[in-house]
Amino acid sequence: MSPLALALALLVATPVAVAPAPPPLTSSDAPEVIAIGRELRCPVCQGMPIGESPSETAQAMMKRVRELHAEGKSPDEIRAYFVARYGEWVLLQPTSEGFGLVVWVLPPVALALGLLLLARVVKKSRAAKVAAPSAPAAGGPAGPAAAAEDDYLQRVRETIERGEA
Amino acid sequence: MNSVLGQSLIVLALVAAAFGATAGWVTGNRPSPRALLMLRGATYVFGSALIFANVIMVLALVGHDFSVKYVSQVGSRSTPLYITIVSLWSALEGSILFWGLILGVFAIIFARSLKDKFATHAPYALATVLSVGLFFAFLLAGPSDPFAAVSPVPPDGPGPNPLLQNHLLMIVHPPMLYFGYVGMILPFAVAVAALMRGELSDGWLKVLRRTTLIAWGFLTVGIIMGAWWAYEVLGWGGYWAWDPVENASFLPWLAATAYLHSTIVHERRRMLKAWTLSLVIGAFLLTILGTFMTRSGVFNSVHSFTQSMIGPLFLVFLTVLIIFSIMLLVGRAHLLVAENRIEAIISRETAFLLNNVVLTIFTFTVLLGTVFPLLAEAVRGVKLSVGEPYFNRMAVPLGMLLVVLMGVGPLLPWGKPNLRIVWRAFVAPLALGVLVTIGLAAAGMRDWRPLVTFGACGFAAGTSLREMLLPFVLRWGEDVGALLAVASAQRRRLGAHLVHLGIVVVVAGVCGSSFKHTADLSLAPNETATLAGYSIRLQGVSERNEAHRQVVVATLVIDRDGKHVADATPSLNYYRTQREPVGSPSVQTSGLNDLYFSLMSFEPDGSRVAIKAFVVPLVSWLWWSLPVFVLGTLVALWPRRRIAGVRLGAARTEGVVLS
Amino acid sequence: MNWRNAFFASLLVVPLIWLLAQGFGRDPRAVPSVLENRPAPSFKLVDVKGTPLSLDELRGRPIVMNFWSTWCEPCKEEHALLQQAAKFYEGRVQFLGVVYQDSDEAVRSYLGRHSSTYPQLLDPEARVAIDYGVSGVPESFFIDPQGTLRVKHVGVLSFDVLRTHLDAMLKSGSKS
Repeated sequence: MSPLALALALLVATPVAVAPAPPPLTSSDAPEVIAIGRELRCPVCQGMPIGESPSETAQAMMKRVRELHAEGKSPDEIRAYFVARYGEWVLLQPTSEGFGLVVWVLPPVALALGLLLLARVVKKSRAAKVAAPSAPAAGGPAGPAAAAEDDYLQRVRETIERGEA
Repeated sequence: MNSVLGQSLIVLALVAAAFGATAGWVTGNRPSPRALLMLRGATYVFGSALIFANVIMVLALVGHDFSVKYVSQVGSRSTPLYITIVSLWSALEGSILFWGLILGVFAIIFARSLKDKFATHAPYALATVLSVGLFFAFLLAGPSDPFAAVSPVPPDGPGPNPLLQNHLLMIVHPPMLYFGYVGMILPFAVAVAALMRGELSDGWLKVLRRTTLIAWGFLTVGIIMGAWWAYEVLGWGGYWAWDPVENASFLPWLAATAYLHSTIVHERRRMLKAWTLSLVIGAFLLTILGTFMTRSGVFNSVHSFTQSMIGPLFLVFLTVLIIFSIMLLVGRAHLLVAENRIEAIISRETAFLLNNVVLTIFTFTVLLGTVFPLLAEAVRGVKLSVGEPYFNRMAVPLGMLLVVLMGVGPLLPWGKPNLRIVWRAFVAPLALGVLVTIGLAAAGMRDWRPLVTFGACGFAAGTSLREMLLPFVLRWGEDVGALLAVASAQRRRLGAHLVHLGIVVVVAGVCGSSFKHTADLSLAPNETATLAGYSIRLQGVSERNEAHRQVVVATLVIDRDGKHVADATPSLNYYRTQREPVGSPSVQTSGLNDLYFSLMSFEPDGSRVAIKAFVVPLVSWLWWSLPVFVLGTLVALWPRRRIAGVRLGAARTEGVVLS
Repeated sequence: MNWRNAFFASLLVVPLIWLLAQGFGRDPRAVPSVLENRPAPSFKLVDVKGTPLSLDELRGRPIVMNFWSTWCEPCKEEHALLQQAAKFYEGRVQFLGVVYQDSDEAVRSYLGRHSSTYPQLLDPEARVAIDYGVSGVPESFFIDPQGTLRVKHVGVLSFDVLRTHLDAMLKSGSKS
């Protein structure tokens, strides 16, 4: 073994050799349990998930979730278990059946509509004949000057971009 | 004595607001110096009355005058002094009084700083501020009177909610948030005045922008501090639960951010005028909606104050405001005509429009999720919950879109781009993004989600750094005076990009902290457990007595790789007036990680403790963003100083302004 | 001013305000039970004296199951009423108490001072509380002689409410 490899092996090996093996005092939940713990609502708290609430009810429910998970129940079955007892209210995100579907569908639809609207606005604006910037009610003397400044700045910018490394 | 004094001051504020608002609305179209004088005077009286009323309340709290209703609700002889003062905003009636204080202060500053050149618009603006003030004064005089006399006078009170006694952030977070919230009244008043008068000059536009930026800055700080407070106090290692009241503060922030972007298009290209004003008005309406959500008892929330008459009153007020705003906007829309057009699809204008679309959808989604339970029950009679999982799912793609836009937008030119040249600008930022991604992947990160997120953050940071440094780089070699002149001319852009960097830091922190490690530990003294490479040993359990509570502390020693990292002291506080103890988690930052411990329970003889342990990566970045945001906002707001002698240089520098 | 457009745009406000007003008078935390008119979840628990008791043993008579705690003031006020009702309906209705999220010593100490004529069951892991969808105390469940859960009552009981539900169950029970 080369000296370097030996040194590396020692580096890795040393903590194990020096520290006495501690007893398993740490319990970590399985990822599915943690995930369910985030999705079920603590009935006695103000909208908190059971995985994050210190209340006894939440802890008892988490314990039940762990038991059900250990029995081999799937996340869907565990969720259904609690829904059967508390109603859909206990789920922190509505299911995609029933009225709950609205809250999942509306935002993407709104985004699509927004983008369509945007496309229309851009198209209309590009095609528009611009009125002379003389409306005193809504404009100011800086209007045409700003536009001229914009062109100048644009050209300056292009010059700089070209000159830049 | 205090009761009568306080109530009289409120009535004075009410009368002043009524008088001033009437005067302002009536003379708005025919401004005269005398009317303006009366208006300013009314505003000063209104503001001063509210300020003094708050002073009286603080004196009553400190003096333990339990004959005053609010003091009897939250005061206590055993509470430390600074908490007593701070309990001014800890419960419903006190917080409305506090709102009045901030409104009064802002109204006075606003009235004073309105220059004479704005005499045409000042009456309507002040009338608007005073009208809103009138509503709050009315609440304080009647339905929500914190000064009501209590008889018989109780000898002591219950003290403020213990959760609010645990942390210093309790002192700073609510005022910051209130400054931001209440501050939105000013841009609203400015917008209303512009619409009522039918004109929006450059000068007035600047007032609009600056008042919004100030309110926005406070709101940003207030929201992040609220998250920080939740993180330090609540014990679950999290900081944002999409609680209805948290959403209430986030909604106006989103609208105001959209405004800060669309106003640039407005100023540069004289387009999107009606939309820009709508955003300002929308931001203000959302603050009133948010206040309604907090106080009406209609929403289930950790923050909610109790149910009372105030809810219906707020709803009426909100209705009046919405109808007024709609009529104003629709009625005056024909005056706000675009003076330019969009030249190309790939342009800065389009990027800003995209930004607005995303922010608007974000606002809509958060609003939808918050009111959806109400909707479901009203329409279908079914009780549904919409909580963290939903909002997180929705926020992530929208947030990512915004990060990408932050990277792309500033690199696009106004008007018509020369794509070959534009492309050059992308090289450095893209390189940084790719470098970050490769670097993280090389360090062992395999999950594509943080890789993509951090890569996008790198890209956006690259753009902002480039935009900040470029003007200086170009003038490198010249003297400090010239560089300062550049900075001064560029301060809006500099500030904006600093803020963008702040957002990047926040997004990185949010992403990192979503990968936190959790474990439940059960330790006897001198036993050690491990989590995420850290070893945690219980040194012992101790107890101490304070005037208003008893504290049980577990001392933990944390090592990593054999080296001592920190000592943690999570505790449980037993307050005399509460059944359940309130936990005080122990939070420390070690490098990129936070070590977070909550004491869950303990054996009375100290033989064993149950600890919930978290190792949270990058969460401290969220709090580090605060100075970045503050700096960015201050830089953007900094008033221009006339530096004589550099005028010539400044003129030349102006020509190099790149945005 | 374009009044007509403005007027119609204002109408958009109405549904939003109506929606927000819906919340008034409703308790955002009151959750209706999904278990009503379904078979009552069975259980086997031990009472404070150590005697086991299961739901199946009690079939044949109406049952009132009351979840309570010593730290819940309204529950303690309700206790006297329930003891009286138990005596009134003695032999006809089975009353049960189930302790919710409490410590054994507190319960024993309380019952030592305020005795109970009907069984008080301990639910240490909140298993039965979860099965019955309990989200606070006091909550009471009315189960008919056939074992169907008829009514979930949230909050403190009154004698009128007890009488209404119990008389209905007794009447229909005597017919079958």
